[in-house]
Amino acid sequence: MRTIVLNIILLLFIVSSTNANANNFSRTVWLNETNTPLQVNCLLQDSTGYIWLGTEEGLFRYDGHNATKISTAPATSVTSLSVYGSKLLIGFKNGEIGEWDGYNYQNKKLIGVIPQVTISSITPIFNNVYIVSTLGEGIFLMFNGYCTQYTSDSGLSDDYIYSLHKAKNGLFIAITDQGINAISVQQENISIKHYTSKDGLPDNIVTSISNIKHSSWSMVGTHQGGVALYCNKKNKVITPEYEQSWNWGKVTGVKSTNNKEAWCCTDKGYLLHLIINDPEHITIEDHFFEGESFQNILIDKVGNIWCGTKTGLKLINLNYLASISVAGNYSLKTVTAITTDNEYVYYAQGSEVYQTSIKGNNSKLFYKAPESVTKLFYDQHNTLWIGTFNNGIYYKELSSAVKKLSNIPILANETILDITGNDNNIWISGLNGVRELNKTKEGYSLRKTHNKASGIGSDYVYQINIDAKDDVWMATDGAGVCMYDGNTYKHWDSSEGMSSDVIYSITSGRDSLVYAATLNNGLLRFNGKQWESINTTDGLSDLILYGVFYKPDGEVCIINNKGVDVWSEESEQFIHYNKRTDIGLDSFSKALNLFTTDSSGNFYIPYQDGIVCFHKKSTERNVIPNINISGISVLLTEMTRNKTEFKYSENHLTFKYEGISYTAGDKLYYRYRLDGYNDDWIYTRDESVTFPRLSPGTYEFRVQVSLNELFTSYSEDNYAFKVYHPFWEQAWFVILLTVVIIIIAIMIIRYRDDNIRVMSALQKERMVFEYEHLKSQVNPHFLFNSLNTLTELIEEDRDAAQKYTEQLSDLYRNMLSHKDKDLIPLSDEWQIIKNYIYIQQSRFGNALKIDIKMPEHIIKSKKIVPMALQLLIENAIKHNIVSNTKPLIISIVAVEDHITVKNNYQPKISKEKGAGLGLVNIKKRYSHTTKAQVTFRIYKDDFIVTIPLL
Amino acid sequence: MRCLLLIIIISIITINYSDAQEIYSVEDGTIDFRSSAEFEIISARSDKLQGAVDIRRKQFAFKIEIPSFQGFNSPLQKEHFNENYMESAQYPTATFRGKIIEDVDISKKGTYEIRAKGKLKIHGVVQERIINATITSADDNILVKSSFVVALADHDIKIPRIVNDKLSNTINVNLSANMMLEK
Repeated sequence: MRTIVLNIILLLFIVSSTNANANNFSRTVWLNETNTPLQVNCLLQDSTGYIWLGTEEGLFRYDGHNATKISTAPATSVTSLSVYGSKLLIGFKNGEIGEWDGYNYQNKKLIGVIPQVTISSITPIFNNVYIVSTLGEGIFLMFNGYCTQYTSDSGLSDDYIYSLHKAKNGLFIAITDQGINAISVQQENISIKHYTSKDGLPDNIVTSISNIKHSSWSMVGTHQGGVALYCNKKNKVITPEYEQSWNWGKVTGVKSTNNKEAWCCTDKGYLLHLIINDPEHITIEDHFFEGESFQNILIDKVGNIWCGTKTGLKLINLNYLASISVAGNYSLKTVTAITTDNEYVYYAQGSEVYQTSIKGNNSKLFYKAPESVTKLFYDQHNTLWIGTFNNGIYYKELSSAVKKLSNIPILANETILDITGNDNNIWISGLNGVRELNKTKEGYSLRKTHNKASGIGSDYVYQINIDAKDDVWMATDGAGVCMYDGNTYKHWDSSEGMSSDVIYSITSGRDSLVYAATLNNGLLRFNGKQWESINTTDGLSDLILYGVFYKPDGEVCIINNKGVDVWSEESEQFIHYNKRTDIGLDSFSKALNLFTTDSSGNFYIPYQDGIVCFHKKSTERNVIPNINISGISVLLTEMTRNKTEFKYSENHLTFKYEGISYTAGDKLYYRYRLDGYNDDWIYTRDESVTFPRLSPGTYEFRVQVSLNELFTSYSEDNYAFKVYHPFWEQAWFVILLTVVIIIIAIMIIRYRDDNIRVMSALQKERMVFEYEHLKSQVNPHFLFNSLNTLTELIEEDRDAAQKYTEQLSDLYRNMLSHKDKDLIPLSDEWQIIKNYIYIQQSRFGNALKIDIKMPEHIIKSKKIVPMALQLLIENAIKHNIVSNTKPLIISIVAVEDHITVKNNYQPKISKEKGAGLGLVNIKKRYSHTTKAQVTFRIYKDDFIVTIPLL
Repeated sequence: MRCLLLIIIISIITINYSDAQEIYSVEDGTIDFRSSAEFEIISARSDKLQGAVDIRRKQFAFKIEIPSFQGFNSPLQKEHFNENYMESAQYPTATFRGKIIEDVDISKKGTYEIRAKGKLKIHGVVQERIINATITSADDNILVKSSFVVALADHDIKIPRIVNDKLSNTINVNLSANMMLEK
């Protein structure tokens, strides 16, 4: 253990030498990729957190790491920026005005007397009602684009208006080449009051103005007369006194942060910190930036100062950091100890102790110790304690010389690790344990020795911290943390779950919180019950720590291998100051506990160019980054955020988002999830995500940004959208489809029913016909007549009788074979009627004459309802007189599509039963198969029936 | 020619203004400039300054012909000046016109420190400038003296990289004019 300590101490003596320079802790942001200069005319921070820049070449947006040019806006000189709601109003050098709604740029159409010269400011009153000031054409009131001009003819002292500010109800302050114009608008009446050098203004050319918060005062900056204060309540101008005459140049921008403080920048490259003691007295701290010409100033919500310059944008950290100048032979590696008495900082380089003023510029050698100095401590009794390497302790009381603490022999040749104190006690830690000294009238006396044997658990205590309850906390080498409450020792070490037994630094915060820095296991925090780890996942830059200190403003400064991390207890976030922050804080000492603090809570630590002071914060710093979903594209086509509904085919969505942070541009962690798709957060460092093939549904894309991986505090942006089902999956279509199907089904059923009905009717017809037919076949008359004829033939002519019998049997066979068919070939029917005619002619002889004209091709090709011809011949024979005196002449003539059966009409007087049924039957049977009509009529003693051929 | 120009300038100033008693015009005026670069000092001078000041309306106009500058270190340098840098064939004049900011009565005898604000046009590029000047007022003449700096970049005057260290980025200009009351 001793070797570790000695090594650490020896490390402090490696000497190298660099020259010390004052540092302005600033960083230049180049706006274009080629790092070419681009003049920034105006600056604005919007509610999302973006910094907007009006440049000579158009509009830019900056999120802390990237400056994006708004390519849809004109690439000409932007001279004014203001915001109304979510709308950004942009004024151009050529007199044009534009609007940016978050997605689109739109040029504002102006009507009436429109400005032709540089727009210097746009003051929104209501939506689309603006008061616009110009350089040379006075003021324009724009009402929905309609412009009304007010110039010196309307009572303004000058037409060259640098800016116009809204002060309070109806009062506007215009600053011009001829002083301040207080414009009071009461209903229709406009009254203008002028303030010029005659009223106390240091200069008539007033170039900038800033309202002082929570007061009726405004601070104005002038061309060559410096700054002045104007009160719109008391109606007066006060030129305050400063310690020296104004020689910092033309004020180009002024911003008040609170009623005690303001910052202003000048064209000569000065940034001035104005402390308003009272309206008549101002203290000015100047900071010079070689080669810069500031155009404008902005103080963002975190408290950073931004200046637009002739070359780009400059971030200046001076409101939180200050550089303290050091003696010429300063070298970071040789600094071994540091302390402060609120007015001076004392630091040791080897055996030399230097004193340097916090405010001024005088740094001088204060004391040369006989040995290397290892520790400096300034106690509340104004005694400076100097601990040395192997040579004990020296001390210097107010207005007396440095003395060696010699009355305690054990300390005479001690190597000192730490000195601290409270009330009348001084605690000294060395290589042989901790000595508690008591201040008495005679001097200092040893009160108690605390060491390994007495109960600390280790002889090496790197740091002692006495908290508000006078409990003494000790950071030990090998025994963890030890707390001595005046009687007993309490221990926490790795056996109780601490991540390390080697504690380098310990500090007590408010509410009994204690922070401890470990060798290489990060930070530990004691909440009164147990120790919790704070490490890199919480945002700590590095696990190798060199010191920790709790500032009374609720911030914890941690010195680690990479730089200084400032932990905000409130937001549980870190702000990092290191090489990557790029503000000139590149390296810090790797010596243990090399820092000091004054009574008001400022924290001092040596860095490569001197000593930097981390001021006590004046306002709450909200360092939580902001986030903005900056782009939505569907199938690689950019969409605006207004579109929240997508077709089923537009389901390939890409979201771009960017974190906005001006304290940790490269330390942002993102996580996102798409509600409706996946309920788990996806952690990423990427700034875009793509969701291909989203199924239809309702989604919400949520993305969060944080400074640490644990997302203990974060900002969120979200975007809800809907992907529609394809039309065939939508309710209206399904219903429509169902209805159509039902209708079709009903129609099919109906059609089938109809068909069945027709079929059954046909069936019935056929049955009736068959019945009729069958009846006719077994017609006893026909049979009787036929048999009679046959009897006669048997006697007269045996051959004819045989043929007759054959014909009869043929007739019956044909009749039977065709009875089931709807249509038969005409040739078949021809066969039937040939048989039939033979039979009938055999019976009637010359009384029946049948004349048939049927061309061969018709017989072969046509079809006919079976038995139709036979029935017609039978009918004719049945209903007419057939005798030798009155022969019945039947002619059958077939033409292309019909066949005509004609007989001479000589009806019998006695009618046979079922008369007329046969014809009706034929008609019905035809009606089922064709539209062609069966007709029958009596014409000139002829009975004519026409039946169609098919 | 010179007379005509003067009349034009005066008529610009005196538009809607008939009382010509308060107008001073340049009787004898010079302008010299000096470029102090690391390796070369260039200076030139012209006494062809024209201009007028209306002291009641506090407006003024000055004009100089660029080719009228004499001096330089060599004739070649003068040629470069006219052809390459100032492009005097295209932009033959430099003008400064505007108004006096300070609320002073120059017609009274005395010496006044004033700021003249107006549009400075050099090389065809107009810049809004505030230029400090001293006016010494006597019986019927005033003496105007002023010196100011012109940044070449402001007026789009491009310097070839080769002569970067022979020509300064900023030029110091001195003006001196004796102006007589117009009668």
